[in-house]
Amino acid sequence: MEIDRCRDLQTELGRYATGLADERLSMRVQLHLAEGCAPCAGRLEELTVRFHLAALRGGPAAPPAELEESLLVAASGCEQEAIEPLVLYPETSERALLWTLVALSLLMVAAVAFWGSGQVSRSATLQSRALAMERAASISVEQLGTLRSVVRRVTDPRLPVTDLSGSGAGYEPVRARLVYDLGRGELWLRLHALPKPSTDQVYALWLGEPGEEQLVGSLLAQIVESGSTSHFVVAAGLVAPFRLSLRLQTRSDLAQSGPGGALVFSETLGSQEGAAAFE
Amino acid sequence: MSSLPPAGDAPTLPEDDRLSSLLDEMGGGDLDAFRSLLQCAGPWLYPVARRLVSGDSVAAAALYQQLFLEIWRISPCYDRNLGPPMAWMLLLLREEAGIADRACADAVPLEQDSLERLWFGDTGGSDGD
Repeated sequence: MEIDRCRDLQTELGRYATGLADERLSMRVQLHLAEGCAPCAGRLEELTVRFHLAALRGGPAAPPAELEESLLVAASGCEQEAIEPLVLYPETSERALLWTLVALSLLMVAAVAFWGSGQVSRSATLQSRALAMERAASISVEQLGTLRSVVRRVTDPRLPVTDLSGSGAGYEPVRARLVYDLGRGELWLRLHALPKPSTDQVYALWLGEPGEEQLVGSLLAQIVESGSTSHFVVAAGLVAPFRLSLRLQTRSDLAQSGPGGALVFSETLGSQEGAAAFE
Repeated sequence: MSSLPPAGDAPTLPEDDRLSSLLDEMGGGDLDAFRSLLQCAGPWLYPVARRLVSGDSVAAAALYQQLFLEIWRISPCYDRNLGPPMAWMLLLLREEAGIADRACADAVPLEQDSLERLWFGDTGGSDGD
């Protein structure tokens, strides 16, 4: 038994309204109406009315007067009966309706089973992917451990967090967030809106007062592009307060003449409060 | 039913609400309601019965009585939610006349003529007048 749409039954409602529908069509119409299709229900009522008005088109004509009295006499001696309500539209038999419901139920079970089998295969795929990932994960357990410790330290609420902004000419939109660990001599830097350097240029991070600056490291091009966090280790140890500067330099300058090029920002960090807080 | 009255100055059908109320009252054994129904619906159903028996007055009277006695008998089961009361009574009339299964050659019997053929057959059901 198919489930009909309105247009499937458009030409069949007339048959149904006039009592010409066979059991199969009756069932189709009833199932469709049972879905709550208001337009078809309205159309069916209109057709039914039109069908019955066709019979009444001849207009009224009084029946013989004696019929009324004889009917009243007959009715007074006739027992009324509350039988099953008569319906205007052809009904399907209960057995047919039952079989349809059984068929629809089976169809639903089959659909659920089909969907379920799809889920099982999907689940198997996911499981195999999970196993592969687990294997990959076990290989880099050591790397993961390192990463975890980094993350733990970076997210350690006791570590001072400093927000910086570009102070060099043309670098005003640059924003940076710095987290540093004085005890371990480590710092993490996350940068936003840092212009992409040309191929012969590099962003270099310098530590120390002017004239005594030491190169901490340079930012990888990918880090500049993605705005990721870059991790630096200051071998000499980080002593508060300290001055940190970021410069855009050519690679040759970086190798030969120390800090130079264009200044992105320069800040004195590691105040007493920050150090004390950590200690 | 009365929402689509015949065009022109033709007499209008009794109101659905009025007929439904009478049928409800009849379901409680009210003979006065039965009399009222005979008076307002009878003149509409009698000519149909007459056409159904090809204008035979005697047969028409018998069918008419048979119809209204059946309406009286089963009025306790009348449910206004099942459809317009006049349509319900006409359905009973078709049952009583034994034409409930009358078929029509037209695939989609929505034209007036084919609808009438469903009621009165190919001859159009002359009422004999």
